[in-house]
Amino acid sequence: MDFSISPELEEFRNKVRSFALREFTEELKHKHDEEESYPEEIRKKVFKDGLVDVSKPWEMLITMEEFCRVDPGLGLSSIVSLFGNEILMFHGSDYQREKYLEKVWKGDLISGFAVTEPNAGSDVAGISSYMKNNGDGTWLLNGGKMFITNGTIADIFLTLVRSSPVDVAKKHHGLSMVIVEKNMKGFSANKIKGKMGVRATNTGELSFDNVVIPESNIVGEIGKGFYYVMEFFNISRIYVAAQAVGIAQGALDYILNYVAVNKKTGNDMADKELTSFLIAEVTTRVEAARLLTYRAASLLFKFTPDPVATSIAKYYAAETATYATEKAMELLGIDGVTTDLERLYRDAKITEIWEGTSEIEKLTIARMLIKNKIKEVEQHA
Amino acid sequence: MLNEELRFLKQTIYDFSTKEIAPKALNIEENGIDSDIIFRMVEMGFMGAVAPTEYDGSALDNAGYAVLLEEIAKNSPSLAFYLMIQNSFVIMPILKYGSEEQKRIVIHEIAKGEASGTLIYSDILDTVDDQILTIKDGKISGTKNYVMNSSGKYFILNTNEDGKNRLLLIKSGGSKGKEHAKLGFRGISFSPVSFDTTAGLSDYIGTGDGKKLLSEIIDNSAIAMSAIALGMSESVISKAIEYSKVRYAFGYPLADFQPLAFAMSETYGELNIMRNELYRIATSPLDLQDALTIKHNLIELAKKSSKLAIQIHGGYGYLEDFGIEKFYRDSMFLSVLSGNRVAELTAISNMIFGAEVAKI
Repeated sequence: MDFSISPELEEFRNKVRSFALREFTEELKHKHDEEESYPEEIRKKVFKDGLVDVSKPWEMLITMEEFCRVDPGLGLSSIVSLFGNEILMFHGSDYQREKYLEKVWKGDLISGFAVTEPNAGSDVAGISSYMKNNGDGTWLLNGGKMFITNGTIADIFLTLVRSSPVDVAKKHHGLSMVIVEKNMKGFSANKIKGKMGVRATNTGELSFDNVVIPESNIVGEIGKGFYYVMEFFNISRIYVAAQAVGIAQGALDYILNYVAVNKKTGNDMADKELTSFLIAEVTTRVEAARLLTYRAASLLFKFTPDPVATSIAKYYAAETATYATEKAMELLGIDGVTTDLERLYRDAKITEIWEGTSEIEKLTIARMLIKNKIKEVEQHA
Repeated sequence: MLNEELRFLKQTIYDFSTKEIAPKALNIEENGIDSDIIFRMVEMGFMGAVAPTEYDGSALDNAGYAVLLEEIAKNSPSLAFYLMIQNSFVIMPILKYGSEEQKRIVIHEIAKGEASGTLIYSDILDTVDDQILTIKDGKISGTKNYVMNSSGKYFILNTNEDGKNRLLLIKSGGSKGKEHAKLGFRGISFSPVSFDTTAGLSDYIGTGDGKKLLSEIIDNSAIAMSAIALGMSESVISKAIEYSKVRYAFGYPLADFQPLAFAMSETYGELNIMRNELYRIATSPLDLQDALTIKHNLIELAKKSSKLAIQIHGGYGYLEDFGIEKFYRDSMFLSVLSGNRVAELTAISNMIFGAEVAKI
């Protein structure tokens, strides 16, 4: 057992933190939050500086954490431009990898991951976008997607669709993963405005109206889409956990700074036990969330992902993000409501919702544990 | 709990709030409280809700006033807080501490919608980013960073002259700074206001220490703030309950899932217990310990309910159009604006222990 982080990674952490502190200026943070606009200029710099490199997953994770610590909206926007790329990495054909994946990795193309629909969120297999086989090497896709990150800026979407009629007993069968290009005829996207937080990220509603999907755009095996999504959640949820850890740490930074400033100006807040307990409680949870996240990540990065560890990390870190921003807001009071903390407070809540709500994480944890226990009991019987 | 007269009032305001405020709630958040709404507030007698009829008010008692704020807050917490600023922060202090002339002019103008006022009370909020207004050679100067309804005409504020704090009512003379980007109550202006004026210097309010009077005014608004928190909780939790009946996941309505149903039911239960307690307090002789206690509990409940309601609504709860997320922001903002949390918890503890405690 070794909980230490390598000096190289610590050095990298300093590098990304400096980048965030330097590039995420007050002006840009404000502007993109207020206008709900995508910070393309920051994304370009992030790629240029080599801060997003899929061959170095630990670095990606630290980038996510440190960026969100400073500003989740700007931070996420720049990293999430390769959303869903791992699905192509694991299951894409040579043609797909060459045509799309390599460009996504370089930041020349933006990808999106389209699963959620207006009537199916947590219930992934409840989607109704349907793709019909034309029998001539193409499929006809109809339906729509909701709350899709990069919705109106992505060039391609890794899209989950139903490819054969619903078998009520096995709803997760008959789902496939396809690549939809923004230029395909019949595809349209509308920007979703008015999010409470992470407003620099782009979110859209997608519509497929008789979109012709060539067979070459089907990812992996037909009918295996649900499994690819679940496998992907093992990855994306760890990155959401890192977002949440970053946000929680950002809130803790506010708490400590504020107490220090008060101490300097003669306010005895720092000497009160209420403040001490608050600092201790928030720090403990942030540290626990970080360790859970790194543990889940270390299993994933060794290619032995554990859905239980992943869901524990995502559930706990997201809860910690909202908790820490709440506590920071309560401590700073009126000094907090007009600052960057105000934005962090709005941003934090999304981590309990996207990439699997906390409720879904709890179900994943419990179901896996019960399943394993039953197996164990059966083996002994 | 409510007598017949209050039940009738509640029904009337509920109908008004549902028909006239709900459709405008989103617009209030985006563009502020417009003159049409103020006009209707005046017609309904809400602007001068607590003022006696001789000053054009509606002479509502504590419970009636609470009913008003509760019902308006269900649809627009911004508007409810605005009404509370006029009534609890301006009209009540003038009634209690002001001169006859102040009553005749200021309360009349507010009740008629001709002017609005505000209370600047950041002096008692332990902020690091604010100044104390000083009076020197007959001139008030300084900048207050956190002023709600900063576009209003009248300011009640604390000033320091030769080390002595005095409360002052001034008419104009403040210049409004850049509007803050703010967490909640987006329908109300919130900005710094700079003072460099001799205006209104004769208009002292009350005779005691200015900061102490500010604390008293905030203490006296505890029932009003509780009513806003109550209305907010009630509104979000009802929306969550209704949504959970029609939103399906895995083939069942959300309400069929134990943890969700239990969480909503538990919150709903707490809400009813606290509503009864609030109206018991509102209809009894003022008990500060009870009033501060219910305020803290109801504000915590408003935070908890709005967080739960977002979670039940999922991604939709995170979007402004659905009218859920604003309660998450507004409840925290209400908590911040409701007074000095630590000072109030200390006051409650002191009353319970009958001695000065909680010092370390």
